[in-house]
Amino acid sequence: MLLPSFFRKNLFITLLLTGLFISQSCQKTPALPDNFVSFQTNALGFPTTESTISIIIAFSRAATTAGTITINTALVGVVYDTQITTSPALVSNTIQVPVVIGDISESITLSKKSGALFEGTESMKFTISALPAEMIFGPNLTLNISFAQIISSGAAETTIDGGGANHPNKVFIDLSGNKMTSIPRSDWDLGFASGNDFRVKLNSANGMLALSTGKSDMNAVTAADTIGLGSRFSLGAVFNAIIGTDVPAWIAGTPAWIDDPSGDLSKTSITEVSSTDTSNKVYIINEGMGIGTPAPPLPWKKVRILRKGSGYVIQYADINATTFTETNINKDITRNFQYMDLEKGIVSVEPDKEQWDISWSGFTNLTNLGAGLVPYYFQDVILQNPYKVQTVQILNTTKDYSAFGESDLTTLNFGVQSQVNIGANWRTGGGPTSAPAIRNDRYYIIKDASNNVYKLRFTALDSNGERGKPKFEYALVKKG
Amino acid sequence: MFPWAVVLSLILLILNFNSNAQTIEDSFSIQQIEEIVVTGGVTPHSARQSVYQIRSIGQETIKLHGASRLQDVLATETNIRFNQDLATGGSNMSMQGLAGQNVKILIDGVPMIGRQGTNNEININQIDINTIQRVEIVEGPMSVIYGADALAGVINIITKKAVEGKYDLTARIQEETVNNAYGWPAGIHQESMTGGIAKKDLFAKINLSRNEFGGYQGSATGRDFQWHPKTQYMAGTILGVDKIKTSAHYRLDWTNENIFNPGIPTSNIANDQNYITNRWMHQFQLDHNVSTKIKLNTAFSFTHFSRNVESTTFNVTTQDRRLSLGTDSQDTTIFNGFTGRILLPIVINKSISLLPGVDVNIESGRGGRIQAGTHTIKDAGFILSGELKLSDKLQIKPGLRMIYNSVYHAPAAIPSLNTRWNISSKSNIKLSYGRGFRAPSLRELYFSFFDSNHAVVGNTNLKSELSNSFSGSWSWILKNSGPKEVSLSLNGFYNSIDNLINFGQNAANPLEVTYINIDHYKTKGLTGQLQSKAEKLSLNFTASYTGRYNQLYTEDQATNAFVWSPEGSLSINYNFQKNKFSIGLFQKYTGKTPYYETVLVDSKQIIHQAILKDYFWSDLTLNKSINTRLSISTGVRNLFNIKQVANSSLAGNGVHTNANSLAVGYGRSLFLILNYNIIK
Repeated sequence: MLLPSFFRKNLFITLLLTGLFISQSCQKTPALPDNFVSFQTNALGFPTTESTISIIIAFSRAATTAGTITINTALVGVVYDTQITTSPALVSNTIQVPVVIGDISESITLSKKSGALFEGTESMKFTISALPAEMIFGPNLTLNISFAQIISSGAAETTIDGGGANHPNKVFIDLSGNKMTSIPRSDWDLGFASGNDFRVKLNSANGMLALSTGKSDMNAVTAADTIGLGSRFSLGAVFNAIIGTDVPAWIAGTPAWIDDPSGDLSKTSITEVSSTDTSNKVYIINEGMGIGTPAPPLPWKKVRILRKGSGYVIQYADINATTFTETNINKDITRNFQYMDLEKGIVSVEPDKEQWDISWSGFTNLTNLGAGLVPYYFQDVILQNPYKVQTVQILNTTKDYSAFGESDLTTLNFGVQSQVNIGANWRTGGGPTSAPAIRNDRYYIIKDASNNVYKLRFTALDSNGERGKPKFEYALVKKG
Repeated sequence: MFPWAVVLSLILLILNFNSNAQTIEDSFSIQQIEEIVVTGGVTPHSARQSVYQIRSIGQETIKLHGASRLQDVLATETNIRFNQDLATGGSNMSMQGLAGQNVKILIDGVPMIGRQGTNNEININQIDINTIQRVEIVEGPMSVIYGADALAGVINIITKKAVEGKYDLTARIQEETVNNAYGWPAGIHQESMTGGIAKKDLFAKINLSRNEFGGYQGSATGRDFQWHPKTQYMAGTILGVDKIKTSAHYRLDWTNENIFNPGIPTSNIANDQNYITNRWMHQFQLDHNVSTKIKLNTAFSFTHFSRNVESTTFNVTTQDRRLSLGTDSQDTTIFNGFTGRILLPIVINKSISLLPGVDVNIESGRGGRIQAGTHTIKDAGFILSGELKLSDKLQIKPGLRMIYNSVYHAPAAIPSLNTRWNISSKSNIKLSYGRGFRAPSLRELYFSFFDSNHAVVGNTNLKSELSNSFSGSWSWILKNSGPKEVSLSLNGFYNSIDNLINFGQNAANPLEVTYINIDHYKTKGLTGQLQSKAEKLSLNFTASYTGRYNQLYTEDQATNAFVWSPEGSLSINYNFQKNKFSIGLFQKYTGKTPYYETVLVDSKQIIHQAILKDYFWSDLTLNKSINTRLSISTGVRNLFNIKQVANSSLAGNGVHTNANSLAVGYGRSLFLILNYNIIK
């Protein structure tokens, strides 16, 4: 016998213990989260003002296998190919939507044929009827599309597609229209006020800064004007300065580098664009941080903005350039701001001012970290539409969220409005030993431009453990 | 409640009643008069005859500590301190006032790989305590022989060997409370088994061990723990051949550790993390006597080390656990290391011997928070050391290591000089000088961490940290008759380190933080030891006084250049030989530890002296051998119920500091150990 008697005798015990050990020490990796498939909303309006809409089929995580989603359709009062078309195409009452690996949503484009007429009573019903193997039916499987403006009654769980932990997107939310518009936050640099004001705002979601040179000739501003700024003129430098040894005196001037967080247009970093051209100075702009890990620093520019008729003209160039570009910017009364990217020119960012209520993005705030107020970047900031939208925070101890109804509105005082009314108050900031978390003790009442009143509360700071995808629920309290 | 304990107790009892084995000597009654050590030498030799100052912690001491991990044994040693890293669940060690990154950990003379944690150290608690025969501690640099990172010293873990000509089997279970917490899975549950065989020229050994630490909640609430729960599985095997001229063995060790960091749920969903470490260490050693005067010693090892951060979402209502999504939520950092050492000890004549050799170390790393790609450091050292016996009384051991390194700026050569002078047969003096160096770690060279508020990058232009260390000792045997021995020793050390690596602003981009060689650091200290060994009673009293350099002294000369902290330890072992009953008491006093800090008060930076309070650590163990095979131990760990040690730091309100105390222990705990051992 090969085995010595000693081990033979105790073989059973030895094997038993070894077996137990091996079975105990094998660890299973948990599965990926279930991938729920839902329409982003359960009701959408397709009013006469719009010629195409996008219907989003959202996944709760990126798809890991390819396949096809089958949508059943029912059309009431509309004729396919005569009045409307879809992409992918509608064939024998179904639409087959291909799923691409890595996508977190797919979409169907619904278009009106040119010249087609609608009475406003037509409707369509979409139903998700079949999914690829790895996907699971989610909460919103049907979508009703009315060919008119709708007033949403609310939604149980809505995920904001902020793009992930590095907050690459800015998301505009229209509560009554059930719509979310998500755009990369670095798609624009400056916003030009459309109303009576001649004001220009900076892209706070990128951490952008502006500093007046005091000169009014673009070509007179050169790299010499930036000497010493390299170690100061960025959010990172400001933070380093206040945690380092003696806080330098220049820190006191840093709040003027950003627009007032309240959104008050009389307190922008770039002063009012004057009708007297020589009063309009050249500003050095730090475009802030781009999208990526590490976030790439965006370039510095020089800009000067003048009035031109009822609109603006902007002169801009790289710091060292001896020539500059001019672009005319006209006001558009249907929007709060006209947006411009210093590389791409005029861009479309914000939906029409009547078409959104609140937005989600990163934001450059003024914060006291121990050395007085300084610009400091916050994630997960909710800004409200300055055009007619009003918000107020309610604590559950005052009135429980579920109990809040129309009768409570009579005594409700919206109080002073600021774009950061909701801000980051709906979450805690976390610290070295605690993660940021939502505050369950509060919710918000939001009155839109059409006087519809909604109650809204945040339910999660992240989706599947991924930061930058918060969730909220909301319900209609009173139709406008 | 504890199925493992019940199952194993039953097995042990059955085995015990069926046994009719021959009586063997209880290892407790074997008194080793001379401490035998191998660190720094080629063959085992007495600690007293070594030119190095070596402390050896033997099997009896380890056993009497009732230790479930190596830290339990070392925590009561002077000049070694531990505190818990509450964020990662690791434990920080310091030696001679230097952080754990300066301590080299060896297993049977071969370095361990996989430094981690805030102090960039080897986690000594990832070694199976049940495989340890003894621990040799050398204070002071041994960089000539062991290369980088042996700047504060070396801890060489000597593993148990198979008993010549016999089979052996040991099974052990340990049940321990964590402060007042005990149950399933609360408390500590440890089961281990080792088996060995040595027949003719061949030997083999196997070990298995499971160690479960249920965590300590302390001031944490809900699902959260102050000390994270942890499960370890460890297994190993040795296969070897031992002939007269040649001996060789292969050794494989596997460690798996899973630290669980649960989150506080919001809306039923908690974000949990597991830190999973896997280490596979292969060793091959071959010794050959070329002739009576020339020997060949070779050691090769390959280590695969991975640390995996697994983030999951856990629904506390449905108990459903899923992987978290998003960048950085799942990360695996992998280190691969190769070491090869070939030494050729040559005896030229009675008074001169030479020790030439080569030592090659290759380490590569990749994964999260390391710049993209795999990064490799290749390091080769050529060793030339010699031993001169100038007379019967005077021995000199000079040494030189020439270094080549592929990445960082290593010194071209480092010297060492060790001397021993026997004043009489009872008294000797040892004086040593050594140049030590700590290599920049892969993290310091290639770190990459960016988010909205951090921009930290590694620096490939770093130089090694370099030290000059001086130490001296005088030891005197006061009494030596039969098993009785009383001895006294006095040690002093002085370490001065240049090029200390610390965070600094990147000159090329002031917005980034990087690592730079900037600081200067010194430690010095005195240790006195009184030892008394007898058949029944062993006493060991040690007192030390260690000064650490205040790095803010250059800024403000009004502060003290050195801050001093005393330590004292007393261990008492009593062996009631007749009843096979023994008792061990280990006590350590860690004195007040002052340090200077800069704090922001009213927007002004001031230098402030903070003091870490003093504390007593005490362990008491009772050990009883029921018969030749079964022994039982019970005791109290941390008798004085030490938890957080208060700190008078003002920095507690800053951006990145949170605690005004240091987590040293989790309070008083009770333990019970059953040990079953057959040798046939």
